[in-house]
Amino acid sequence: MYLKNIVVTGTTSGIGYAIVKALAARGDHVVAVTLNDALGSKAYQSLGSPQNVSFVSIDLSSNQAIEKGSHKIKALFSNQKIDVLIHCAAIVPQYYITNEQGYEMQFQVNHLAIMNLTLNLLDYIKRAEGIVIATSSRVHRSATIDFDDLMLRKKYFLFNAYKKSKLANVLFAYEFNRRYLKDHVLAYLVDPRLVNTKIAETNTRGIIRLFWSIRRRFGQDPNAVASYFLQLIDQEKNDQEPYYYKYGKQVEPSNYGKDEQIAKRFWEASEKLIK
Amino acid sequence: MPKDSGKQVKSLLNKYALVTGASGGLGREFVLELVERGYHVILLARNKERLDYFAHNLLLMDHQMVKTFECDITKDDQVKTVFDYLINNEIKIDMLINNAGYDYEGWFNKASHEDTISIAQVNVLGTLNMIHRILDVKAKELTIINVASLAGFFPMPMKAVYSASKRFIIELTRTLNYELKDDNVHLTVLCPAGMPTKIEVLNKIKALGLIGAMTTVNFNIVVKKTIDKALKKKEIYIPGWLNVFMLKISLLIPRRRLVKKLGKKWKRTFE
Repeated sequence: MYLKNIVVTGTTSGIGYAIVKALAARGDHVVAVTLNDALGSKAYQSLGSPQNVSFVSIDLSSNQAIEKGSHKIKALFSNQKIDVLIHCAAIVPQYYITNEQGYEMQFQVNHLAIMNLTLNLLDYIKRAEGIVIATSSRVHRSATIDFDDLMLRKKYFLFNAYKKSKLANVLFAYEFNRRYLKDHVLAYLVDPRLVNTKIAETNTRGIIRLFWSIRRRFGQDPNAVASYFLQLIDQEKNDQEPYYYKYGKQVEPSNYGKDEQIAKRFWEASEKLIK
Repeated sequence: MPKDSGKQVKSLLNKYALVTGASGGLGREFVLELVERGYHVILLARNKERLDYFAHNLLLMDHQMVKTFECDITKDDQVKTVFDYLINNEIKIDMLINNAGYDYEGWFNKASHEDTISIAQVNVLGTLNMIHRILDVKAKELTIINVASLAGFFPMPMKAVYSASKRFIIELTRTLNYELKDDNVHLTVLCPAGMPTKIEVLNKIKALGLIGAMTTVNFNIVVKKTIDKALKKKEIYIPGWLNVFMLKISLLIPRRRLVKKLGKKWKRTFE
């Protein structure tokens, strides 16, 4: 097992932070993405300022920032390879919020940002014949995509938007593999189940915030969950379906998530949006 | 730019809408809604780069027009450029959305001169300039949507100039509905309370506690309803039933007492 070039998003706290912590101890060359420099330096210091980890700031709500940021990331890998790209960043705002292009926040950060960053780093990932891991969730199973209203402009409810964005991760990963397996790269999905993070607490208030602050305490410690990601990094690339992993084992995602027509249409619609 | 093939192809309305402050949160949502309804849109904003970045990827129907202008509505020469364009191209405006506005919160004597004066320049004079000039390029029927605020109904400490400027717009709306009726011009004034358009604003609302929570509405719905109500010639739209209720109750309270009560409440969220 050699030391790898690894990029992780969502590293301010939660699962992303736990993964960086675990990788820092192993000595892999890690680039960790946070929203801004203040959060990045705070995380870096609490990790003990490890030599093998660099923090980069990218506002994932801005597609322009993602493109610029991908150059910053690439500059940190002198051999121009990225072995692993792990997407942990997500946002769950209580109210309908949009970015500078009018895109709804969860659709942008939890889905488009993943597609945008992956495609921008793809040449480096191909060079390493690397893998991409996205964090999905069981809630994708009850979600569908409304192509007439991709961003829930008709009616926004934070949980619906979240479900759809997690389904988007499944559609993305499966379509990514349909398109790029031939280039020896591979996308995985990890369903960590309930994890004790503040994902639904930072941008919510009142009853919803209270509900999540109680519910998350029944979840796993993010440091334990990090091992599911490390397992995929260390194992031989497994390009056999299903690409969806729960508790370290392959399980089938929903039929909707595996649907080829829907995934293709969704990919093309998303691609137009991130131009 | 081709639409996603699954979307129901709505027909082009062949109507024109002009939106000021089109790159802000609320402005963008108005634009998205108008585009979806088939309007050609003319967009004004101070920062053309930001505006063009927003506009370049809009999902448009074939032959649907988007035109962007760098325009500060307080600068009449820039406004005139826009109107010259409309006149030269024989474009008649069916809907004007006066969304550009400026806000600054804080004690009156602690704000900079520029911040203080700008609120009135944009919200009052800029808006007035647009309303007066738009009559030269109006279509047979013209709908004007003025974005004001629930604050326009109250003398609001910490938002003295802002609330007064919005009061100007509310009263102007009422009077012009009478004066311009025969010209087929109808005005609607939108008066929201808390309406988060950015993550930072969401955090401010958290600080307002329970009342803040219950008076907050999602702006995607507000935008849709505002346009619907404006087309139905509704004069004042206050989103959120609790906000309407609170307004009605406040009308029973003598104004001096009201200022003091509001002052106490807002001071708390500030300090």
